Amino acid sequence: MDNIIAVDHVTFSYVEGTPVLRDVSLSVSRGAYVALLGANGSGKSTLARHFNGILLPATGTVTVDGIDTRDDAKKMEIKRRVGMVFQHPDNQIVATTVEDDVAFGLENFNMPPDAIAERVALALEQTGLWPYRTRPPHLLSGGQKQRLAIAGALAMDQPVVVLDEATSMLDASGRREVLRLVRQLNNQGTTIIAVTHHMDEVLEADDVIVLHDGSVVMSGSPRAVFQQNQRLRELNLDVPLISQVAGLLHEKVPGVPAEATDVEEVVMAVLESTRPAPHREHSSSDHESPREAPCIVVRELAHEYLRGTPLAHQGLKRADFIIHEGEAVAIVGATGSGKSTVMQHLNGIYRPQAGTVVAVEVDLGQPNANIPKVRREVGMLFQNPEDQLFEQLVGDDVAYGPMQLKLQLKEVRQRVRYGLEMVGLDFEAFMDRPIYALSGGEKRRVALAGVLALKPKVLVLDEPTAGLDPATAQDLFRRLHRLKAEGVAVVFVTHNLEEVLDLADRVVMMQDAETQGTYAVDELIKEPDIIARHGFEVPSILRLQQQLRKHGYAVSGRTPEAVVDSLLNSMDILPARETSGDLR
Amino acid sequence: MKLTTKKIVVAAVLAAISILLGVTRLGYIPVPNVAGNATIMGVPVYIGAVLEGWPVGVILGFIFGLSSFLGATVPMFKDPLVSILPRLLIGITPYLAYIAVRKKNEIMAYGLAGLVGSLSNTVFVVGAIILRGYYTFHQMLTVIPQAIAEAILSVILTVAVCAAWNRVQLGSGKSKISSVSD
Amino acid sequence: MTEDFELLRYITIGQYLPGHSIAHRLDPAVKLFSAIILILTIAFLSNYLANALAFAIVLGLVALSGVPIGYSLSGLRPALWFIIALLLLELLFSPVKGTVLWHYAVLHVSTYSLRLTVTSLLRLIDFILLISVFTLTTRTNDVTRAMERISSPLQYLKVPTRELALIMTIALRFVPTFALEMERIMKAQASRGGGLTQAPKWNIVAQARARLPLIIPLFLIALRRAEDLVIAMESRGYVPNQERTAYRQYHLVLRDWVALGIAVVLCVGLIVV
Ligand SMILES: Nc1ncnc2c1ncn2[C@@H]1O[C@H](COP(=O)(O)OP(=O)(O)OP(=O)(O)O)[C@@H](O)[C@H]1O
Ligand SMILES: Nc1ncnc2c1ncn2[C@@H]1O[C@H](COP(=O)(O)OP(=O)(O)OP(=O)(O)O)[C@@H](O)[C@H]1O
Ligand SMILES: [Mg+2]
Ligand SMILES: [Mg+2]
Repeated sequence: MDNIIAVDHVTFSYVEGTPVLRDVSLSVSRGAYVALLGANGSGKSTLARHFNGILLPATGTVTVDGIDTRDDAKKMEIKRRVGMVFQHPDNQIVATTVEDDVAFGLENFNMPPDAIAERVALALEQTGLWPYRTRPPHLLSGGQKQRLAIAGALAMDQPVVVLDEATSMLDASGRREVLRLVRQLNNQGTTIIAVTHHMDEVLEADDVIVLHDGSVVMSGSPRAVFQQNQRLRELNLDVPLISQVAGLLHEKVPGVPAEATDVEEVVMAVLESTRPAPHREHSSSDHESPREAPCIVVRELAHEYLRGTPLAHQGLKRADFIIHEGEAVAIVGATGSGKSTVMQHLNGIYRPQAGTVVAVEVDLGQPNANIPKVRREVGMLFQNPEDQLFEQLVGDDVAYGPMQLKLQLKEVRQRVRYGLEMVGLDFEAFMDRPIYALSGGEKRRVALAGVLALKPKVLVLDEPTAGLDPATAQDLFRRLHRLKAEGVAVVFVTHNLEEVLDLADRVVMMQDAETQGTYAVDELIKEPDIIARHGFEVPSILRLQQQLRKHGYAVSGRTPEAVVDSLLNSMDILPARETSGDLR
Repeated sequence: MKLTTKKIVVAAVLAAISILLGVTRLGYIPVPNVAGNATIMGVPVYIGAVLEGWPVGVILGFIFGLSSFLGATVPMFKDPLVSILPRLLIGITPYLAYIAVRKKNEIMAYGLAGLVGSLSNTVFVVGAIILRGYYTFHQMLTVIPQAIAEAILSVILTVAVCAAWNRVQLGSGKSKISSVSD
Repeated sequence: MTEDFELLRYITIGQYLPGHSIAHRLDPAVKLFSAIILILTIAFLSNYLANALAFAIVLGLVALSGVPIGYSLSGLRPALWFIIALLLLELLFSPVKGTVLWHYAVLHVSTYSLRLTVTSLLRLIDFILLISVFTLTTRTNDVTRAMERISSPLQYLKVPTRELALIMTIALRFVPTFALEMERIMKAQASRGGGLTQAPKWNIVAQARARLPLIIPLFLIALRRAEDLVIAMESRGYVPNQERTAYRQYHLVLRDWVALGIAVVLCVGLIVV
């Protein structure tokens, strides 16, 4: 029994009468990598905070290395053993330079200065932060900040590191960076407990524990857990796209294992139990639909931040693209490639320093440009909009925009109703709710309602789903589809190519502060190599299609359902018994 | 005085706001008189005193004073006896006002803390200016309109922030659009 | 002023100018202590001679540290007219003491008001230069550690000096972060058709009203962050009012003691004159 953490029949509540953890029992073996999964509010963070004694169980016990967390005399012992890394990298950095921050925990443990220096150097070396040791934290990227937080835990040489959604504020490359580091730690023997919504992170783990409403409802290997497709959906959790495809396919082609978690496995199974059907031409939607008129034109745009100061920085070197009325365009690119900088030009927050931006027929380069018209017709949702709600009540916040238009109060009310209903919130129930009483997902919807209440013709969204749980994110995308159908042009930034497949007609690729090119999404589905060439990871369902096409299956589609449909259309299922004989 | 981690951190973030309001000048509202600006930089001090007690108020007062001293561009505030010393007290007065009234009405107590804090800031600083001989009492009378403006803003901000943070309902709890029907 | 939504532009705290001058190499606590006693001494000087000497000493320090004077004083430029107006007010309207040098209607220039005006101007410049010499030659974390070290005797009076230093550190750490946060709120409001830039400059009420929806959320965001930070610090073993070791070590060497001696002698000298 080499369990480093044991949780035994633990219950906990913040407020009398509403238990957040109900009779939770689990154990984590030394050196394991455990993923903790569950919908928003299911109690993950609360449980995580029990592992190092920040919270103490009301009943039941938590032991770390045999030490009861309620033992007051051993508090420091517990902290020495269990490190924590949280979601917001910004809220866990204490000092004004990287090295001082790594030293903070060691100072608390009264370690002699020489030993601190040694440990700090080692931790910075391991996390690749040594060159940045004298930087102030606000000049680090998100991924670097999160690595700094891990370096702090590393320096303390803690046998357990708990990550509470440590990657959810990061972009794809930042996440990969952090995951690689975590993997490496685990290989060196550190026990990892990771709270996450990202399925690819779950696949890294040895064990998965699923929480629902304060209880452990599932546990086991990732494979075993994902197999229970239906059950996971009921729990408001996402299943990796490839597992969704496998699940759907399994119903028609039993040879495909429903619990498959990688592309190769599905391809192998399909090849074994089916053969490609002779080409049945079906009407393809290949022909270009006639282009609508352009509503935003960006030409040779460049932008320098903090011009004329020692910190001056070319945030954008060159951007070129057009947005047409009623279409959805995705903007993708690595972190720092200038996506947000471009977006903020589209409704005149920034005016072009070089190049031109014409939005809803207003040339933003002109000193007397009609900025209020642009702000009204191009609605803009910034990164993490829930932090930017500034009124106390939902109704007042959504009304802010319409109020600036000096509309009659009655008219304003109708706009607020429209906005809230568009995002699926009940007007009567929500208008007088205080903002603080909303969940994260609800706040984000309110922020979007505030923009929609202006009835914009163009909707500009900067990473609208970052940090949302999968169910909420999907819900948001359903609403965007509806708006698009009503003729609103949607421009959105994302790091998630699955979202591009879901909604976008075209995609603008950015790199090194320049736009590299614009592609029709249908083109990318046929030629996923373009995506790889631009340095992105090809989404699993595109890789699947690509490999199957190589074997002669005429498959194409954006969603698991569409892919499975077209695949079923393009194959003949071999009778189960013949399969093995056929291959000989 | 025993400081908890929470008190330390709250003092720190409020101090950061105070410094930020100062360096960006967002904490100053231009007013044409001797002082030149109405300032809301004292508000973090009053809020700190209400939320975490007088020791946090005194610490914030000191930091407010220090940043006003360091950032001053006029002779009288480049004098630590004017810019720092009086500010040590403005974290205590709002706290006393707050606990005196808290039992009767929470919201009123926030408002009074803001009012008393702002008035004591004016009185102590103006007092120090006169004592240090920069200007006379009569010259300093021109700050009265500004003192009123500062007091009003301090009350609004202290009430709004403390009530929102402690989740005390303000006013009717209804949004503006509730007053009309469709 | 906020037209371009770039608040970081105003954050000049911790603007360390790298260099190798004697001022850079002195121990930060020695520098800070010397600066404080000089500032306190100068604050009490009232005669011309002492002020002139103090000014000379300050210029000497500036020369030793290699800090550019123009750069240090550039902060005064936007306030120039205002400073002149204030000085004139002091010069012309102060109580009439000593001999009257010039008068016209209610305006009087006396030896007293002249001295008051000249000394307060000199003092302003002295202080700005002294503070620049200190902050431009000392890194931010050395500044807060220096504050902690020189105030440590106050611990015996139960003043929590280490905790105060930590508060300063965290505050400085968060100023730029909050600046970015504020920038985002401003942009969010502007993009919905409102904001500070819409308010007329001298309309005090409008200016004040435009700031409230900016500043209230900033406070709430800061307090929310504080909650997270408490948990993060406690997870890393922080316990207030308890011994901690220090990563950064300082040892006074000969030149530090010499500098300290000179500073004390200068201050005593100025007071005697
Ligand atoms: N400090 C607190 N006081 C009162 N209730 C709280 C507190 N923190 C969390 N809760 C409540 O406890 C429940 C579980 O919260 P917890 O933060 O553990 O969820 P979670 O699974 O981490 O969710 P998320 O995915 O949103 O981070 C929620 O209903 C939440 O509202
Ligand atoms: N307000 C600012 N002040 C100074 N530099 C900035 C500012 N905003 C962005 N930058 C810099 O400009 C560059 C482009 O930033 P931008 O935010 O547009 O990137 P992004 O593609 O949106 O990245 P992310 O995916 O991280 O959101 C980056 O190097 C960034 O550090
Ligand atoms: Mg959580
Ligand atoms: Mg961005």
